[in-house]
Amino acid sequence: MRDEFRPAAENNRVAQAHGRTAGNPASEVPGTSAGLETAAGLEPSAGPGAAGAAAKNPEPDAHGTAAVGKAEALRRAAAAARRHLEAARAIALATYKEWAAYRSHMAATILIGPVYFLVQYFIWNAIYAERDTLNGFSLDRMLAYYGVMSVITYLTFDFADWNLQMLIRTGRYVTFVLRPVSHRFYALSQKIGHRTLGFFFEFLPVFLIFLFVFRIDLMPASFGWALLSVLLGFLMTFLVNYCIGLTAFWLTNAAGVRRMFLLVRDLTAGVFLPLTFFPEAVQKVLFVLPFQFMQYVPVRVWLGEYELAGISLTVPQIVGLQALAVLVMWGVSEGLARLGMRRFTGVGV
Amino acid sequence: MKSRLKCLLAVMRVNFAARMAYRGDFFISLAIMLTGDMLLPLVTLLVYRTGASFPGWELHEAILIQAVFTLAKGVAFPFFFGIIWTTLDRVREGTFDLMLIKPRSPLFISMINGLDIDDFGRLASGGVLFGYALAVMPEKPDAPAWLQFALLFACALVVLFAVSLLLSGLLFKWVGSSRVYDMFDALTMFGQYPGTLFSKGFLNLLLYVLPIAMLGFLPASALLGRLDGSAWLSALVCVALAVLSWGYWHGMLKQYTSAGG
Repeated sequence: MRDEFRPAAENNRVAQAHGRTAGNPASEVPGTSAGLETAAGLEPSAGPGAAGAAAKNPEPDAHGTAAVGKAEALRRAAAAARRHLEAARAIALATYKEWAAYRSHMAATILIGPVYFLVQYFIWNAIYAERDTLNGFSLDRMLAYYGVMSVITYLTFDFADWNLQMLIRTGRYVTFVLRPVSHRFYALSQKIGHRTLGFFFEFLPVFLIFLFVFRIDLMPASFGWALLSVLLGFLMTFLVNYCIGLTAFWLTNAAGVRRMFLLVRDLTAGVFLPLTFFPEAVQKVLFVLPFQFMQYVPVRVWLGEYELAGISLTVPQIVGLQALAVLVMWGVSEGLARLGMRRFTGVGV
Repeated sequence: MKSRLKCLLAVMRVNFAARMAYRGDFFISLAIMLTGDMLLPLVTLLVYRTGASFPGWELHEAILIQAVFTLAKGVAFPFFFGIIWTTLDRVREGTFDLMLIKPRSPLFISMINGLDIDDFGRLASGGVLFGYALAVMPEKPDAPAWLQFALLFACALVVLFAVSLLLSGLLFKWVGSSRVYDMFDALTMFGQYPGTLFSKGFLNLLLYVLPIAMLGFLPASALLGRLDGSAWLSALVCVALAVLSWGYWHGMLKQYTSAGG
């Protein structure tokens, strides 16, 4: 959660550098926790609790002061985390309600998803008419791969890149510079709301169609690991897309670059074909790219096995690697956001 | 006809000038479209590389089907497919009314308003892929094959025009839904593969009900000398579909309640 304070504090610094204090008196005292918390839209949490503690121990010794300070810091962190969770919940709920007004658009997936799958169904049935296995996949496993890929896409789908590029290009990003939470936190909360709706209107119906109409075995090999991997895939998709969106700080109209990224992303995330169909040398490159962690890894974890570039990993190993990749991507997005803010020239900034 | 052509050229000129304001992005977009349209043939190539195949179809034959499909889209998208975006955007914004007071038919005005210079990238990629597919064909098609291809390719354009009218008409009621593009992509995927991969009943559906097979499979079959009589019956269905969709679009236009209700 502390990460989310940084851009707000950074935004505050930018505002101060331009002779403004964002209308926030507390921001005039940067570096203090009160200033930081207020800049993040959160009331200084040292209030009654801290005062009460001080009253009970008017003259604590050095050890006691340290202990109280540590407890106080923990309490503040917990309070800040709680407030961020409340903010995330509010943003997600608002997004959910906003998109629920267009639920028929989302429900179109009930037609589109199975039609896409039907194409794959016919093609792979025809191909497997002449063989039992292909690249280690039996027909059932291949259809399960595409089925799981489809439904996982409904859980991880994201367009943070488009939103962010639009905000930066039009200058509307400036309104987020002054908000008490970072835009990344806001966008992630929006995605949670959007995909919650997607869960009900896309994932569930299509899952049931695949299960009962196409008779595809979509049950995860291990529910816990599959859930964890999908959650990490959810974050990874968001972070990769967010980084693509951040390129707008350098490129005024980045639609073309965005398309290129999306193309590479989908191809190298295994959306069109399992990555093991690529030549060995390409697979080695794909192994070190972040894109496999968006969809390919969650799908393989769902199916209970992982292999790429001749490397076979157990499910816990690959999920651990996925978690590490998410952390790295989080750092990359943070670095890019900070660098980008230096270039941002929205109206009045 | 002459005045319509002038309108089209004027819109193209203005759109091109506007797009040149972001020329870097424009050229990147063209390159991306070129690359993006190569994606499906690439997937086909990767499947064949493993030793698998679409039963009864050589790699160059499968690529030719996908090349014809890309070429058909390459012609349709810049010239008339923009009608979908115009309807989607203007009905949602409440500015479709402006289409109705212009001194040309609303359909024509919608069409030229949707002209997107970027989509010429699709035409380029379709041309490149089609040229490549022809170049790797071991036996080049003869004149009658080319004639059959020309007729069936025209039918493919008729199908795409009909589909654009159907989806555009839908948007008068299903306001602002960009999912129509996803619906188009999903439904037309069947046209990118040999029809023999599908079951007999399903193939009949793709030939005689919603003639998606006409988008790639049938014209390519003409060039490959693998055409049968079903193609010409399907061609008639294409024309019927175009007439129906024309009526549907105008029927939906009459139901358009405009921004003021």
